[in-house]
Formats: sequence, C-alpha cells, structure tokens
Amino acid sequence: MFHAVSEWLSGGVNLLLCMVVLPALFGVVLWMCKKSHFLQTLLVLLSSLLNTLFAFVLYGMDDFVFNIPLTTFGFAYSFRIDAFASLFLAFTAGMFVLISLYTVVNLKKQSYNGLYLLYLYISLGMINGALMADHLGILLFFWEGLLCTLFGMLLIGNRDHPKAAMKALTISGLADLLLMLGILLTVLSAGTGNMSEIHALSLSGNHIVGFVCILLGALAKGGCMPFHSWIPQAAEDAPTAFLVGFPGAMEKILGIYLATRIVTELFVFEHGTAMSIAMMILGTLTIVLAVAMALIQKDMKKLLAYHAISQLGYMVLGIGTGLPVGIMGGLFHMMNNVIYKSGLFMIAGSIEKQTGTTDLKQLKGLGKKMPVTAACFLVFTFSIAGFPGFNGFFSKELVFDAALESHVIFYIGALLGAFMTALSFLKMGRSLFFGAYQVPEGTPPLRETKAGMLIPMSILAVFCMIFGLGNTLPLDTLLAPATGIQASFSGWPHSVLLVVISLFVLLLALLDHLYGSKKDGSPLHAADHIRHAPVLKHIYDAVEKGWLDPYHWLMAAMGGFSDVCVQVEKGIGFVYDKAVPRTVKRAGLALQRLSDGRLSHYLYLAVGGMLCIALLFWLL
Amino acid sequence: MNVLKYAAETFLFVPFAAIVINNVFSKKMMEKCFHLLTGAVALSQIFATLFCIYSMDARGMSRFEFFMLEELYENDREFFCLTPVTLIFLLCIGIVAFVSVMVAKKTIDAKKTSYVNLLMTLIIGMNGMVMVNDFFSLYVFLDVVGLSSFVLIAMFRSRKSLEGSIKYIIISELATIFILTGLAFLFMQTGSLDYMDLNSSLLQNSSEPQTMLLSLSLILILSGFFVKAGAVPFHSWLPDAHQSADTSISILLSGIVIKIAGIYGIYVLTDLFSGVKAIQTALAAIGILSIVAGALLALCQSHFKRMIAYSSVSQMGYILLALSTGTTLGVVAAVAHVFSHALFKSTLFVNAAAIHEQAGTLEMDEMGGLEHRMPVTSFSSVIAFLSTAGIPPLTGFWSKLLIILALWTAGNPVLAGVALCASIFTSAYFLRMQKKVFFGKTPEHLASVREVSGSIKIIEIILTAITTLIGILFPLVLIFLQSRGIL
Amino acid sequence: MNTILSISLACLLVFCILSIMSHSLLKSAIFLALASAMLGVLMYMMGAVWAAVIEVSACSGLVTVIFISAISLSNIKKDDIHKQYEDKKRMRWFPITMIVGGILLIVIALAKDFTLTSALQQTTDHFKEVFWNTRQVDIMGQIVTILIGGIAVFVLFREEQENK
Repeated sequence: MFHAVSEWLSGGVNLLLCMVVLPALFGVVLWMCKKSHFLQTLLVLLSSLLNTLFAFVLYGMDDFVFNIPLTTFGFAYSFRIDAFASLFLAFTAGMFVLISLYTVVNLKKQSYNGLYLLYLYISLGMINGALMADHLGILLFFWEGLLCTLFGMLLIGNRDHPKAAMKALTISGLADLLLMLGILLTVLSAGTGNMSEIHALSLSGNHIVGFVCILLGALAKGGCMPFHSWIPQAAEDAPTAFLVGFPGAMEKILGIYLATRIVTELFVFEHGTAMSIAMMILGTLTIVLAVAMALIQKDMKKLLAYHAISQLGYMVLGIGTGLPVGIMGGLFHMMNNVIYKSGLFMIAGSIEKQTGTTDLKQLKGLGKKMPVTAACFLVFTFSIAGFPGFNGFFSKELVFDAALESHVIFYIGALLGAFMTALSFLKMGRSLFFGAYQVPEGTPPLRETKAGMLIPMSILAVFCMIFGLGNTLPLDTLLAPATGIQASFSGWPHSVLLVVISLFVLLLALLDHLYGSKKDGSPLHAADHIRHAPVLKHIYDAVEKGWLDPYHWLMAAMGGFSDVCVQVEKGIGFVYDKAVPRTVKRAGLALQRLSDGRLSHYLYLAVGGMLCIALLFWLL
Repeated sequence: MNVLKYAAETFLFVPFAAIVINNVFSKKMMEKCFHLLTGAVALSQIFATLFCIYSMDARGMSRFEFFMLEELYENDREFFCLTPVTLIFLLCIGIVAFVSVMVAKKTIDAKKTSYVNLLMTLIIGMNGMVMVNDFFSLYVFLDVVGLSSFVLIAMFRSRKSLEGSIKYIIISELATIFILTGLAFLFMQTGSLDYMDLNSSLLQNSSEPQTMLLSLSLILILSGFFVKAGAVPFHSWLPDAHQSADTSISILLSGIVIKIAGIYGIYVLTDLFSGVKAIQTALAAIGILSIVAGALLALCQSHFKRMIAYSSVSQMGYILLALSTGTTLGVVAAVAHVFSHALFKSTLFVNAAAIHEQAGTLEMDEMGGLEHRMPVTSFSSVIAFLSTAGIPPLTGFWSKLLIILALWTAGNPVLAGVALCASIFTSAYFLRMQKKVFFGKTPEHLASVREVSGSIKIIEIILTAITTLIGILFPLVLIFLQSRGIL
Repeated sequence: MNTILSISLACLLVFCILSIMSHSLLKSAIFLALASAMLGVLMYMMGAVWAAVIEVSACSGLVTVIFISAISLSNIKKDDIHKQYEDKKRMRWFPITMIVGGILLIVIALAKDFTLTSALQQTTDHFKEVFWNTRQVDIMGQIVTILIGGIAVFVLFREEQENK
C-alpha cells in the first residue's frame, strides 16, 4: 500500500495534474459542506497540507518537461518542473496552508464562505498551473483563469457596489491583454512557445516589444504602478481574507515569478541597458509614490494596501538592476514581503473581526487586550521597516546595494521609501496598540483573536525571525540553487556604510515621529504671556503656523507631494472611470441617432453602404 | 451510399411531412401537441446531420452530391450537395430550431398563430439554401427564408410587431432586388449560375465591359447579403425586427436566419470568387465597422433584446472578418464562430424569454437583483456572456482564437489586434447588462419573481452544458483539423 | 404562333392596367401575378426560355411579397382609397420620369453593347427540359413560397376579421 503510494507519487506527471485538478475538486467539496465549520476547517487543513506534500515531493525531484498531447499548433499542454518553479510551488503551497486556515476561520459566519473557498481553491489550481506551465500560452490560460476567480472573490463580499471588482477586472484585463500581446509576439519571434526552449533572446526589434508587454503584464499582476489602483479600492470593498491571500501573497509570487523568468532566462537583460534603467525607474516610482500615499491614510487596510504596492517597488528595483545581488535581493524581498505583508493583513482582519472597524481614528491602545496580536504586529513592523536582524532588513540591504551600484538616485529613492515606511508604521503601531484604550461605541468587550487566526500569524512572525537571523536558509539553501547564482549573499551585509546609513534613516524616522507626536500632543499653557509679548508675538504666530518648523516644512512638502500623488491617482481614476466610458457612450449615442426608426433613413443607409462598397471596388 | 442519401433527403422531406401532418390531422389535437411535432423535426435534423457527418467522415468524402427526387432525365448535374461546412450550418439550424420550439412551448399560443407551418417553411428554406448547388436556387430559397421570417414576426397581433416586420421586409426586399439584379448580370456573363460553372476562372480573358459588369454584379450581390446578415451600415432593420418579435422567433432570427441568409451567401461568394481582392477588402472593412459600431450601439441600449440584437451585429462582424482572410483556416474559424454564436446567442434569448415570462418586462432599467430570484437564468446568462467575451475554456473563446489566428496567418496582424481589443467592448456591454439585470437591489415590483420552470429552464441548462462541454472538448476539434492539414 | 403572341400581349396590357387601376389590393396583386405570367409566356414564345423560367420563378416570390406587405400595411377603408387617389394625382410627373429613365437605360445598354456570350445558345431547349430537369429545385422553392403566401393570408386576414 505504502509502496504503491510512494511509487505513484514519484511519477512527477501525476503530481502535476493533481496540483492543478485536486484544488478545484476540494473547492467543490468545501463549497458543498459549507454548513459545517468543523468539517470545513479539517478539509482545508487536509487539502492544503496534501498540496504542500505534493509540492515538496516535486521540489525534491530533478528537472523535467512533460507534454500532454491534447491540442495542436505547437500548443501542447506542456508543463515543466525546474528548481526555480518548484521552489515557488513549495513556497506557494506553504503560504497557502496558513492563508486558507486563516480564511476559513475568518469567514466562519459569513454567508458566502463556501463560495469564497471554492474560488480560493480554484485560484490555487490556477496558480499552480501557471507556475508549472512550460508553454507561454498555457501560462496565459491559467493567468486569465485566475482573473476570473479574482473577479468572483472581489464580487462576493460586496455585490451591491461591485466597484472594486469592476476596476480590478478592467485594469487586470488590460494588463492581461498586454501580456497576451507580449506572449504572441515572443512566441512568433522565437518560433516556439516553450520556455524551456527559449534561451536568451536579444532585446532588439520585435523582441523588445514582446519583452515590455510581458514584463508589464507580470508586474501588473503584482500591482505595480500604474496598474495598482484597484488594490486600495479592494481594501475598501473586498473581504479582508482576500487581501491576505491575493494582494498580500499570491499575486506577488506570481508576478515576480514571471518577471524573474523573463529577465533571467528568456531574454538577455543586462545591467546598465535602457530597459534595465526603465525598469528601475518604474520600481523607484512605485516605491516612493505608493508609500507617500500610504503615509496619509487613516484606515489600516488601505494603508497596508498602499504598502503592498510600495514593497513591490523594491522587488522591481532589485530585479531591474540585472545584477546577481539585485535579483537575489528582489526574490528574497518577495519572500519576506509575502510573509510579513500577509501577516499584517491578517492582523488587520482579526482587528476588524473583533472591533468591527479598521479606522485608526477609532482604535487606540489595543495592545493590552490583544497581546499576542500586538507582539506579532511588532515583529512584522520591524521586518517591513527593515530593522536590523529581521528578514526585511537583509533583503532591503541587498536591494540597496544593487541600487547604489546602478545609480545613487535609485538608492536615495529607496531610502526615502524606507524612511516613509518606518514613519507610517510608527504612526500606526503607536496609535493602534499603545496609549489609552479606545474602541468604537457598542463594541463587545475586546478579547484576543481566535486561535485559528492567531496560529498562522504567529507562524509567520516566527518565520520573519528565522529568515532574518538564519538567512543562510532562504538565500543559500533555497534561492541560490533555484536561480543558479553562485555568489553567496547570506550572513550580515558586507558593506558597513550601508547598514549605518539605513540605521541613520530609521533613527531619523523615529526622531521625526517623536517630534511630530509631541508637537500635536497636549499643549502647554505656561508660557502664554511670553507668547503674547509685542514683538515675539509675530514670530510665535509664524512658528505656530508652522512657517519656521522643519517638521511642518517636511510635512507640508510631503503633503504637497502627497497631493500631487492624489492628483495623479485621480487622473488615472478619471481615465478609467469617466473619460473612457463617456467617450464610448457618446459614440454609441451618435450612432444611435442614425437608426431612429425611420424606414427611409434605413434605406438611405443601405444604399449608401452599397455605394461605399462600389467605391471600394472602384479603388482596387 | 443509399443510407446517406436517405439521411440527406430528410432535410427537406421531414419538414414537408410535418406541414402535411399539421394540416391533415384534427386542429385541436395539433394545437395541443405542436411542440412535439416541431421538436421531433428539429431533433431529426440534428441526428440526421450527426449521422451524415459521421458517415461522410467514415467514407472519407469531402462532398456528397445527390438528387432530391428521382432522376427523370439524363443529366450530369446534381442539384444538392453536402459539404462539411454545409453540415455544420445544418446542425446549427437543428439546434436553434429545437431551442426555439422549447421556448415557443411556453410563450406561443398555437391557436392564434401558424407557428408550426411557418417554422417548417423556414427550415425548408434554410436547409435548401445551404444544400443547393446553384446560385439562382439559392436566391429562391433565400426568398423562402425571408418570407417565412417576415410572417413569423408579423403573426402576432401587436402594432409593434407589424411595424418591425414591415421594416424588415422592405429592407430585405431591397436586398433581394440587389441580389437578383446582381445574379442577372452574372448570368449575362456566364449563361449559367451553377457553382461549378462559376468556379471556372471568370476573370481571365475578359474584356473591359465584362469586368465592369462582373464587378457591378459582385457589388450588388455582396450588398444584398450584407443587408441579410445585418452588417453595419445595413443593419438598421435588425434590432427593430428582433425586438418586436416574440422571443421564440427572435431566437430563430438572431441565432440562425441572419447567418444562413447573410453569412452563408457571403461564404459562397468568397468561395467562388476567391481571387477577387476587393471582396476581401470589403469584407474586412464592413467586418471591423460592424464589430465596433455594433458593440458601441449595444452599450447604449436599455432594452434587453435590443441589446442582444446589436450584439449579434457585432458578432457578425467577427465572422465577416474571418471570411475576409480567404483561407481555409478563415472559413473554419467563421464556421466555428457561427456555431458558438448560435449557442450563446440562443442562450441569451432564452434568458430574455425567461425574464419576460417571470418579470413581465425587458427594460433593463426596471430590473435588478434577479440573481437570487432566478439563479439558473442568471448562471446561464453569465456563461453565455463569458462565451461571447471569449473567456476560456468556453466555445466562444476557441472560435475567437481561431479567427484571430486566421487573421494573423493571413498576414493581417492589425486586424487581429483590433478584433482582440474590441472584445473589451463586448465585455463592457455584457457587464452592464449583468449589473442592471442580475445584480444590485431588487425593485419592489419584482420581489415576488420566481425562477422560470419547465421547458425554458431545461433548455437553459442544456445550452449551458453544451457551451461548456464543447469548449472543454474543443482541443479534440483542433486535433482533427490538424490531422486534415488545415491548421 | 402570332395569334398567341398578340393575345398574350393584349392580356398583358389588360392585366397591367387592371392591376394599376384596381381599388382592391387583393385584386391588384392577383392581376399583377397574371401579368407576370403573361410576360413569361411572351418571353417563352419569343425564344427566351431561360428568361421566361426565371420571370415566372422570381415573380411569384415578388408578387407574394408585395401582396403580403400591401395587406398588412393597409388598414384603410375603401372610401379612403378614393381620397388618396385624388391626392396622388399631383404625382403625374412620376411615370414620365420612369419612362425617360427606361429609355436612358436602353440607350446606355445599346451604347455599351453588352454581349451575351452563352445565354443564347440554349434557346432550343424545351420548356419541360429547362423547367423540370434543370430547375427542379427552384420549383420546390416556389411551391413553398406560394405556401407561405397562403399561410400569411390566412394568419393576417384572420386577424382582420377578429378585429372587426
């Protein structure tokens, strides 16, 4: 019995098929037993662990390519497993265990939980398929399939105002269209669609268009600017479990997977070329603009959503350098970010579950009532802010290193991002977990989160530390063989100067934060008489208005900058929401006027059409 | 060979027999079980087609010519001919007729109309059109199709349906006049309208006035078929006619009549005159125009059926675009799209019938939130919409993929790109429809609406299943095509 | 032969005039059908067998169409028709333009000198041969067309009666 199972498992093809088909089947079963929460939880654990088992068995196997001869025109269902893909598969599977457990507990009382789990599991199948696909067309197939389930999940939570779903569908649809075009061009110019057969196409002519299209499609999946705007919208509308699973984890994995694939394997992408610089600019812009937007958010989920976008910028920046250290840093940062960002979203979800809101203005001092959550939050915050010793620190240092090697501008942009990240998390952490206790009125007495949600969070927090201090494991054991990069980047960063600068930036952020919170803290009335002295009065007025205050300067500059970002955001939103639909509507109405129900006009139209065809014949 | 001949003859004789049965037996009995008779005819058509496909494939024949009646006189010419393309068209006729019958069972009052007779004449007309071997015979059967559909629209007592049918007949008679005149010019040149005679190189060795005459005839015939197919700018009759007819009739009109009367005619024309570059250009131009204008117009409609009718205009554009390539792959793509369009458009019209039955209105502004009240209808409409928008793995995706591939391999990447981008419009107008009809709040007057029952529900489920199943099994079709060297 | 020719020519003329002058749409349509049949006979007698066959085939369709559309268009009582005739008298120039147009067409046709390559070769065919052996299918189609006409009259006239 055991022998038979292990023999069956050692056939990689069976595993491949199982990883695509089984999740969908499990999803259907989960959907059907939506009445019993216990059964659902059990099944979720069982199925996700089974998926992990498969993924790990695949990870242990050698590379292989397999074609399922089901279709035509060089379009066979071809799958391949290599070190890179199987690492991503295993990582996805591991994350999925935690995410699905969290989801099933979080959605316990929702009416839509069965349907949501169905979509979630189909999505897993799609993601597995996309990671295993060898032919670009097959990859596209799974990619588009993911779009459908994504649309479903966004829609379920909020059927009456499906704005986020519509926005996501429009934007992701556009991005997927680009991806499709890119793949078509690449397949056409390479003569084959199998990734295992495409090697290092030079970036020129047709290839460059194909490359840009695929890259944009891949990054858009991760939420890169300017394809990001649906994520903050989803933070308002969608279930928090969705944020944990998709903007937090799966989309980053998939987007970075494809981006790395094309950058390292399919095309010749060298450091210092125009394409590399363009990609780095895109990354830096994403870092800075998104984090500036995050700084002014007053809602936890929205703030985290903008950070999810901003963090992607680091990965794009790292990979965009084209240097081994950058690629390594980008991939490592992706893993770290998936760990702590889904953890942060999980915290937001559990706070929402306990208090009914994630509005930072209404929540204060939750630390004492939810100690474990607060501890996890602390770990994640240290990680995302890049505090030495935590995983985010190491990956960021690698990216900084690569950025500095390219140009100091990119380094400064990345540092600016780090500064604002630290600033916004200090703000959120202090107001959320410290200080006087305050929750919205009518909230039942606050208790610690349920164990089912706490366990995934804690595991993620532990991994933050493992990946930080024991970073030889992810860097040398996992990523190095997968990417084939020989040099070792594990251990403490090589450049002391960079570490010092990073620490200095963190310190600056802390000081700035302390100064700002004191400034807005309780006023002292003791020196009122001096304040009203004849000459000093005007100076004080000026100071109070913030004219001489560096903090206010900074904040005003930031505010202005954020305003600009808001305007850009609005502009993008305008194009998507208003300008395009309006043009289309007007064109439609203009055409409508032609068919007004009068028979004579119809006849004129038909005869006119015939004359046009006659003209065509005449011309040719 | 004999069995095949008998199977082929059923295409015309069975509907004839149905007319006879319907009028000979007692009227009351026939009114009660009219759907059984018509349904049996539709099913016999489906099975006969499947049998013909099977046996022709087994014998490795690519065309089968036959006489309908006994040969009275020695003649080397056969009147009818079955080819793979023809058979797919016949299959579509059978399926759509079956759907129409299932809907008619609920919506049509057999006492007040002559649904059975007219449906049978329509089927005879369409079958005849696709099977004949001669352009003039094609014209005669085209007339039969046009007349039957005209009376089918008009046979209800409403003023609106009369108005729609009058518009239809006047515009479509214009088309008939175009075609007839064109055929006359063609006849002047050749002395015969048999496909075989026309197939020989007409353009060679012809003097200046003859070329002009030929062009003139091609322009006229092409415009005539464009009118019948409802391509922009010849489309204006189509929404009026489709909206005003009863839904079971709209299914026939939109699902199959425009394709047989318009697209099949154009297919014959492109097949015979494959060397004429101008035809291909005209097809491509009109195709793009139809895709874009049809989709834009569909976006502005507030009436459910009118919107679907405009969507038909847009989808006809895709088929014309596929035919414009002039390659075998293009023809395959066009036929595949005809098939998938027949499926999803019938589904949408069946949904319209269900909503009309249950909610009593088809104005989209008055609807909303029907998703919970009518889950089957809602689900099937979503599947049909996804198929229309070309989402894998539904049938619509494959046929659109084939069209784009055909355009690409024929050296028209720009057209392929435009066709691809226009899919966004398709999604847009269907999303708008879904949102207005099935999502959102339920208005008070619709609070008591229930899911439709009986034949309409069954046919919704069947159509959805077919759309999905054929979509999943479509790679097999591709393998088949590749084995024949088409792909 | 000449007698048949002149008789059918006379009949054609009579039917045409009757068809235009008749106040009843039904009669008008029937006369039109008869006129086209006479035209077919004429063509056949003068040797244009193919033209005769197509004339008969196509016209039965066209006449049915005109017939049906006329019936469904008209909800007008007989007395009102007279009034409409009075109104339409203003359009006297219309036939003249038609005639001028026809002459122009003939002139153009003569000037361009279209040659009919092969159509003339088959004039020796028998009517039966042409009509049955090579155009069998069309006849089936025609039968169905006329059948539809009948059904249409049945459906649409019954509606008339029920309205009354």
